[in-house]
Amino acid sequence: MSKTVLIVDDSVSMRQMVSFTLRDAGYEIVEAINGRDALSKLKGNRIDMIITDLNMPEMDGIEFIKQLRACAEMRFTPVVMLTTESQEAKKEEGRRAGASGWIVKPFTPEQLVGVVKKFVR
Amino acid sequence: MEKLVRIFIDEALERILELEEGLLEIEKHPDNRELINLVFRAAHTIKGSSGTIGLTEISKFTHSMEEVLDMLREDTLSPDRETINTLLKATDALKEMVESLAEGRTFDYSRCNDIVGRLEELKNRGKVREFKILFAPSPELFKRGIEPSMIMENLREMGEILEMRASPERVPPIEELDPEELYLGWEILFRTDRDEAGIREAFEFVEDGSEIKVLPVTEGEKETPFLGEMLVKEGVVDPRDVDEALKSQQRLGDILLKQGKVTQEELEKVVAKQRDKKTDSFKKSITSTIRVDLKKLDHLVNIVGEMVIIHSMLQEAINNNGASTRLDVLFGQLQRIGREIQEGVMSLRMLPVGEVFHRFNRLVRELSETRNKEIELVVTGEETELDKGVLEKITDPLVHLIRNAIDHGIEEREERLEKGKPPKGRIHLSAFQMGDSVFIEVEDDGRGLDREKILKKACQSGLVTDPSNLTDEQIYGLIFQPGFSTAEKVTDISGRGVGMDVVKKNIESLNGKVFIRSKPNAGTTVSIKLPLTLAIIDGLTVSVGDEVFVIPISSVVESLRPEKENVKTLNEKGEVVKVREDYIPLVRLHELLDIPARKTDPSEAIVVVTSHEVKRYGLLVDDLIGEQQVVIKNLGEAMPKIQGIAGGTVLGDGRVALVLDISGIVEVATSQTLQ
Repeated sequence: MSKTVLIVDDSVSMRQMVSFTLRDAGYEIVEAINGRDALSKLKGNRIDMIITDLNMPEMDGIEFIKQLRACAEMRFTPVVMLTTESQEAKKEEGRRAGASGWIVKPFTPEQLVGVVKKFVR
Repeated sequence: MEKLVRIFIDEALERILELEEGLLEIEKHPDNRELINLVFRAAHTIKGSSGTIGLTEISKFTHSMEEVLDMLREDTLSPDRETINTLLKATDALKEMVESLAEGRTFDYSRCNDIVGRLEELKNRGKVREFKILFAPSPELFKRGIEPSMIMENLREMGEILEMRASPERVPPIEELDPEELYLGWEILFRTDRDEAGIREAFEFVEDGSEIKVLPVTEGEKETPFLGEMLVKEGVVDPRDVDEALKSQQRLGDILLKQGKVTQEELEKVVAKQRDKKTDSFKKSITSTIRVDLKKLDHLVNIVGEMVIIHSMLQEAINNNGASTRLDVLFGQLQRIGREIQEGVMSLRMLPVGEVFHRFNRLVRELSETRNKEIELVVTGEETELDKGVLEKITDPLVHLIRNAIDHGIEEREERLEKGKPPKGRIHLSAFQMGDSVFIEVEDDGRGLDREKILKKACQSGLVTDPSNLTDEQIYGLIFQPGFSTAEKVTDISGRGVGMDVVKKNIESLNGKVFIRSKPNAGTTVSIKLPLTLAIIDGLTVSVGDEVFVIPISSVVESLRPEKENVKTLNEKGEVVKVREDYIPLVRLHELLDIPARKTDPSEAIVVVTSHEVKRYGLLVDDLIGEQQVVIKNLGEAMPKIQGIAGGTVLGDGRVALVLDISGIVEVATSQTLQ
């Protein structure tokens, strides 16, 4: 059975790029436009891994990870943050909130698949 | 050009010989860096010189050899049978190349393709290295959605996990267990062609809060796996089965003991013998030949030349009969030459202690490996010279002392770290000359002697009845008593606690002394004081009754005839004599040795003041005869060792005199007064 990845980003082009790449690699994709949307998408979907942007309206990535980790069945699900070079501090904050890893933007499709493969086998 | 090639051929053939012999030696002594360097330089030289004169094929070929040798040098390739074989084959090929060059034949280099291929294989083998990875992940790992298996998967993509063991050290007491925390750590033996930084990439995302160590495993650390390990690896048995089997396994000695085939005593004897065998290689290190500094020999030859001249002058003077004054002068010169020859010949027997010391590096290395302790041997004063005879006999005691330091002195790594000491233990072996003695010290920075434990043991075994008035030094000295050992377990290093008494006995047979200093947790120093030479001493000859004795000048301070009122008897100290302002114990030699004396009244006899370990003692003798150099001879196997007597000597008039050993005399005298 193929694994399902939830991608959380307010940027349409980023969501499309990630979705396209991962679908191509054989993953099911669920999309959300911010943290709040993502939390609602968790219900009814079996999510194996989450990729989330940090800067988003309504609920940002850090807050999303915190709420996610407070939720019993999502405590051990891998969460990878999309960061930029300039977001060292954010990265640290996300790690403390419970993020499993990170991908630094910009990244190539191969890098993305490489990281996802590490967490979802 | 022709001439250059000629020179090259001569040099290359010489180097090829070095290569060949060196490679064979390396197989026997794989740890000898000097050998590996020598062989490497030989190949390097041939490569360089062949390149310079345009012999590119030879240069290319030796370059391949050099690269493999360089890996041996860097410890990234082990000099196992296959490696040495290939290198020897390559050396043969190289020899053929050079020989055909010398004979003007053309050499078919394609014949070497096979050997070049094998050299290449060796090069690739060397690039794959083993690492030991210690991974103690952040306890938060699960809470961040990371599974440790992810890291193992990453590693598997980079190389081969040879061994993986979970270490439960961080698991807290059961009441404090948090089911969501990760307490386990892992120890991984990993083989890869990546370097350390490459391996660390596998730990991306988990580096924060985790402890990750990547340590290269050197060739020397690799061990041939035990049968059990291999059986597990091949999937034949379960590791638990091996553990159980090992636990039920008995030592051969114990089995035979149970079957009644041997007695405990016999067994111990043989175990001791086995131990001795193991150190035989260290004893063999001193050969029966002696290497002499050319300057010493030249000096001696010079003096002998002088002697020959004086001889013929003397002959002439005797033939001429009358010139008696000249005879006197000539005899004086002959005497001087005799003395110089004596000194010169004696100095030939002197060897630098380094001859023995540098062998201990190997001993320390091997023993520290078997005890799983990291120990460094520091050697100083290797140039200090000691009589060859003394040096030979000191090797055994030193092996024992070093063994003891490794086994009982230096703590295990963890214990050292807890005490705030550097993890690596240190043994300092030093030698220096002071006056007419040579000191050899074995100093460790281990836990030091346990004063209380020694006392307890001594009281238990009845060595000590009243421990209250013993000084530290006296307590530490107890470990030299026969059969004394506080070691709780018997190891194959230090054996069964017999030993320190043997060490002391051996050193005393050399007229030496052992001292021991120790500080809790700072270490122990065993100091051995040895006479510069055993054979010849300056002696003061004295008479007691009909006997003549020799007192070593080194222990004589002065001699005097005391006034009657200066000799007193004190209740607790026995007889004393006043020397200047101090009263010192008076030892009546005739009483001590139980022989009749001519003079028993000190005011008519002579008191020879001797010093022994800062204390002074007066020896009462009949008369002083004179001062002379004497050759000490052993009293022979038939005579038991007599306390107070160092040996015998033949005097100028043919009489035999005993040479006194002052420390022994003092011991006998003090024990008699105490009684």
